[in-house]
Amino acid sequence: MLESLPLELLCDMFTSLDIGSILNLRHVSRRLREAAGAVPAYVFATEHGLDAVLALFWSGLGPHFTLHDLDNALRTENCAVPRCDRFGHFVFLPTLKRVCFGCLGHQREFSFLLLGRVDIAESHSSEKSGLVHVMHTLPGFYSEDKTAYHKQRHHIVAGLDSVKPRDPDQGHYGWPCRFRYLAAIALPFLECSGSQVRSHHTVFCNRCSG
Amino acid sequence: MAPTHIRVKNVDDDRDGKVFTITYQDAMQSGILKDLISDFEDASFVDTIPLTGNISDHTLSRIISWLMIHSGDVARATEQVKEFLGNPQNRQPPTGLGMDEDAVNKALSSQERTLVAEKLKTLTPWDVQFFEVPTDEVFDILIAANYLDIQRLVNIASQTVANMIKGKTTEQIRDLFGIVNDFTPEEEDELRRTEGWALPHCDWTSEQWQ
Repeated sequence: MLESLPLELLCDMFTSLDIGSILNLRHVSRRLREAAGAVPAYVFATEHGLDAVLALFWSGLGPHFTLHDLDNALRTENCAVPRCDRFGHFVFLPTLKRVCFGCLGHQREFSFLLLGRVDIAESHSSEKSGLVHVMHTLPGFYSEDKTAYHKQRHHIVAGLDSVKPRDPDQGHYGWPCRFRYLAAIALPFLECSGSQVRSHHTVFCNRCSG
Repeated sequence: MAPTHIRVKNVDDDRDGKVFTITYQDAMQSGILKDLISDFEDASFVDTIPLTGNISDHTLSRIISWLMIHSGDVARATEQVKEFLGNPQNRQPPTGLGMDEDAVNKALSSQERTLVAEKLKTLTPWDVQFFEVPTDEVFDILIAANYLDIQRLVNIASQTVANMIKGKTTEQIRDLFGIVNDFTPEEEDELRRTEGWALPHCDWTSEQWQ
């Protein structure tokens, strides 16, 4: 049944699936593997945004986002923070929205709390509906002093409005900022005009790059 | 003058299907019926519109029941969004900050379009129940809706199939849709070696890093 669907229907369906499911479908049969390879969004994501795909996958955020969401992020040029018109070099993984370096460091919505310090009872209803995305950090060794980092992975939650910290006095502004750079990854901007596809890793000048 | 009711029936090679009567407004949701009606508009002698998409009577009756429920959706969603945006607090970005009137109106109408599209995408409990049928029937509806060019029903049906795929292993997907594994054992080994990390049974997000 699934295999006998016309290719355009399969492509539509694939864009509403998460990355993990598509990688999985590629192992089911030849026809589905070929169909996945014919979805432009999948090709662009693995070709230009492979780092982001892998980061989503390893950090446990994969199931929350569809291929369509990732494609949207790739084709967005500017930071998603309202009234910030700068080029967004990064994508913020818990929301999969583009962000520039300045906003990533200062805006409240990019702060984090350890899962243990979130009032689950209050956030529970929104967690159920999939609004609270728990991210599993990936252990990396950024320092020569390896003991400074736990080998264990942290489970962290982004400081979105749906999350309530356990200690209300602390408020959102007291949220530590040490995780926020962990949760963003560089993503090129994909410019598609007609059949031409160009990826830009930084601000570009249309006239110079001709 | 446009007729108030349209009669449609399936015309297969060997038999005439049952004749269904639907209202003009309901029929307008289908791209192909819309085209056929405008073709036949002057020819009042055409009593019944023949459909040749090889759709069973049962599927057609289910699709018509879907059309009847959803015929006022676009108007209703637009009205709700207009009401929501009537409150300036809900506008994104907030209006009136150094923007001229044209820019404000443009931003507003683009936000309206996105919100309406989002509203139309969400599955209602009725839709969920509509698709609580055997898998074959979901596919019949999907293919028939694609033939009749009812974009919203296609989207909802493919969303339903996508939800069936999510979170399943390759083996479960094959069982569910009756797909035969046509990879040779050597190819399977190769796939598992190179892309095996992406398969769900290999749960790296929990234990591997601890």
